[in-house]
Amino acid sequence: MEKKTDGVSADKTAFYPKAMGYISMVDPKESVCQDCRSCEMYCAAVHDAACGLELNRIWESRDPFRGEYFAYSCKQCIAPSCVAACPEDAMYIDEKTGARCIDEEKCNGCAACIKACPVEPPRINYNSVKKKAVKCDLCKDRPDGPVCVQMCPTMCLTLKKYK
Amino acid sequence: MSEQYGWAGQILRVNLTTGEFSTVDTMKYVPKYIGGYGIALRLCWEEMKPGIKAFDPENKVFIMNGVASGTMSPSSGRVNFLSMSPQSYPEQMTNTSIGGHFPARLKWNGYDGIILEGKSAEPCYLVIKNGKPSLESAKGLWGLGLIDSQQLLQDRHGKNRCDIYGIGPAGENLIRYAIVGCGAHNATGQGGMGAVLGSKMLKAIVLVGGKHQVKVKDTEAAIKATLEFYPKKRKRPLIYADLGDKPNNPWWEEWTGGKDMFDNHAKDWMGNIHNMPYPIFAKSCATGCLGGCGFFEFKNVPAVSRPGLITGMSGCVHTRYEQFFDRLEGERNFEKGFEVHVLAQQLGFNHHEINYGIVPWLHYTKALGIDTESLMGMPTDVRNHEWWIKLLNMIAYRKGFGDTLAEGLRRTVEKLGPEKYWYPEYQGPEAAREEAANPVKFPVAGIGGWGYASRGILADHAMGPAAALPGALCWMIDTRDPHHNKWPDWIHNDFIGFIMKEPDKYGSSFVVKWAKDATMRGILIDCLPACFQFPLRKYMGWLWDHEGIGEGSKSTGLEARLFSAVTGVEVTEAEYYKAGERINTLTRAILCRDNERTAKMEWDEIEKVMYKRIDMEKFKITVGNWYEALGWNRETGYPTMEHLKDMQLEDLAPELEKIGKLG
Ligand code: SF4
Ligand code: SF4
Ligand code: SF4
Repeated sequence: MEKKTDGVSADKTAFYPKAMGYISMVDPKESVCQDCRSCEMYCAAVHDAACGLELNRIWESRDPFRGEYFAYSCKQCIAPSCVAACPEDAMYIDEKTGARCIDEEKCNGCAACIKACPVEPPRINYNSVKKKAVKCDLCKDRPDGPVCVQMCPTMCLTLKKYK
Repeated sequence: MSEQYGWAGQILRVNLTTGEFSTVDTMKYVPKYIGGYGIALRLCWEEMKPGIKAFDPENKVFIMNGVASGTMSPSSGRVNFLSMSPQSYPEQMTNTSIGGHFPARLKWNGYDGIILEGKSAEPCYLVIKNGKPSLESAKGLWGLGLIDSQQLLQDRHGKNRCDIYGIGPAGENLIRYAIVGCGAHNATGQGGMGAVLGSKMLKAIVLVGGKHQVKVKDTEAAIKATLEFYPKKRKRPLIYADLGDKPNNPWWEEWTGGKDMFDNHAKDWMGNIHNMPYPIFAKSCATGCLGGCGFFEFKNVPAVSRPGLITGMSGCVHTRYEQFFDRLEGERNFEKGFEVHVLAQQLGFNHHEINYGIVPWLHYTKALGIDTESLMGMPTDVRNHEWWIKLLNMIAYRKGFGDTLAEGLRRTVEKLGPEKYWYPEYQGPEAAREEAANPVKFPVAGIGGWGYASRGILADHAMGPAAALPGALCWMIDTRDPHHNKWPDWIHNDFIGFIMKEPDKYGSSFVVKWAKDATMRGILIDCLPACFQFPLRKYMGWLWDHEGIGEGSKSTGLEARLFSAVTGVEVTEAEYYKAGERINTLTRAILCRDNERTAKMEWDEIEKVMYKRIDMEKFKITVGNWYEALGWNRETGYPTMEHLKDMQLEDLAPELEKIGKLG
């Protein structure tokens, strides 16, 4: 049976539909990150039933000596280089959310997507146990939506819409 | 358990004398001892023996995270440190906890804990990189401040790639109340763990990377449990709030439980500084903290004694530093307090001993005409930040009388003579808060049990002396102050009801139950682990009451549910509570075996530090009831055989029997 990727296949010439948005931070005047890493942990746990540094699809950057804390994740690019770079056609666009996703079955762990992501640092994590690339899928399978947004205690994360 | 959830399965043993590493199997100890403090204790029972002093190479430090560390379980980013404590008087086994992101990263490096033993010949630091340990030379680090050395190590090992626990000069110089710290503010606080690391010549532990994945049994169940208790998410902007200004302080209601009668409590706690004009935000101090209970980060505050900008944190009782200066005439008062505060952190001090012990003592002795100024070699002026800077440096580097103060206030007054330097009663405004609603009335040396400066037991409480009873019970069976996680809640309707209505306060079963619940809760949050504010959920935006599971300050229901969600081990609240009782009795057995603990020893201690505030004759009955409720002999306080059996701790009996300490 054909593997269901329920979405737009990443054929190299396709026009990619926009995602419903991407995970971003709100204006600091509204709320700021309090350095709890909850977003990272919940993100990992809902996807992999485990927590670890190779499973989160969102990252919190922290410098307690300068007082700088912020979280970042995939931009769900309009023209996603990661999708284009995958040699296995393992990346696809989720129909419902438009999230740029990785089909774990098809991913061969080559990390081409990670190298192709133009943002610094790249927004794709690498699970060295399973040898798979993992990235934000906007929690497409959760009825309650993105868990990072749901659980961030300061409400400083949001699903930012494309204009 | 068919699958291993939560635990990493191994504990790293580091022999600092030989440089050898080995591992201990965690699974031998769980779920019986839950994790964290419980496992550390069991290891302590198996590996320590009577007669070991805090700074002996034979002393060990058990650093244990818990089953929930490294997962999304709320406020699970804490570890327990357990060791023979140089701060306790006399030296005794003590535990304390610390947060940051180290505990989670320890799990991600594949360890449930670290056992430090022996002593290095040269200053060194421990690195664990993707699970692989090594000992590195600390040349070029030894002597550096706690914050400075961490910055250097962070540069060396990579920002966002490492987490560090370290010590400052106070730890290196064996100041008995030196901390292990991380970041700009986290600390082990009480217990003197920094000095124990200093005695082992260990400057820091650096965790790098980490590939271990912590399996979680039921993520959505954990989310559900969390959301049930934590529906009040709050936006936390960078704000320009004046904490000392009640109408404009957005946290005031949380701090008082919404009751005006606790305004003074809110001020005492932290709402007594005018911290304008710097923007602040409430910061988590541990992985998974949803609350941000009230530690505030301040960025780029200009120093006063020198050019430069300082970033750091203040909060909770540590705002005393700022409070000492807050109401002075003149400019830049907040900045003065903040500079002193961050210096104390750099040096690696336990702020509690400084702010509640040593500095008030110098201030009150002066007020009573007891000469401590000539000992110090300078006039005491607690409103002068330059005086503070000199004081902190004198102690950290053991200069002049600083060498005596480095031993802690209890040892200082014992040496100088308690009749003159400890017991005389001071009555008047509190050192830090001259305008506080209630003047203080207590001995010049504000010492509670086992040598720890007190801010609870000494308070001439508005609710009367009976308010001290549950706290006194908790304190007497401990080896340090039971503040934070084991402190029985005062701001609580049940407690207020007891104070208002109970005719026989000393004989009341409420006192014993209130103290016992607080003790078990404190133990269990150290095992899970969770933050010490976790039971006092009101400070954290958690629901104050909850029909289904009970109330934050009264139940361990949420903790039990989180434990099950993470581990897949189904426990009821009753079973979880019982594990707390087991761990409490194991603590007792260690104190009896290794630290000469007897009922007389703790009676003499508690009598001394209650300062005739309560009726000691009647209190004897309360203590008998207390021992009995804990499964110990009413008279001797030793665990009974029946209780050991009930706790599945029969294997402790032969050793206790041998020394005549079976109840
Ligand atoms: S959950 Fe929110 S506050 Fe916590 S680290 Fe993530 S972004 Fe920051
Ligand atoms: S992983 Fe990188 S390239 Fe791909 S959509 Fe996200 S931000 Fe864009
Ligand atoms: S939306 Fe979901 S997958 Fe994306 S970062 Fe947030 S929690 Fe992770």
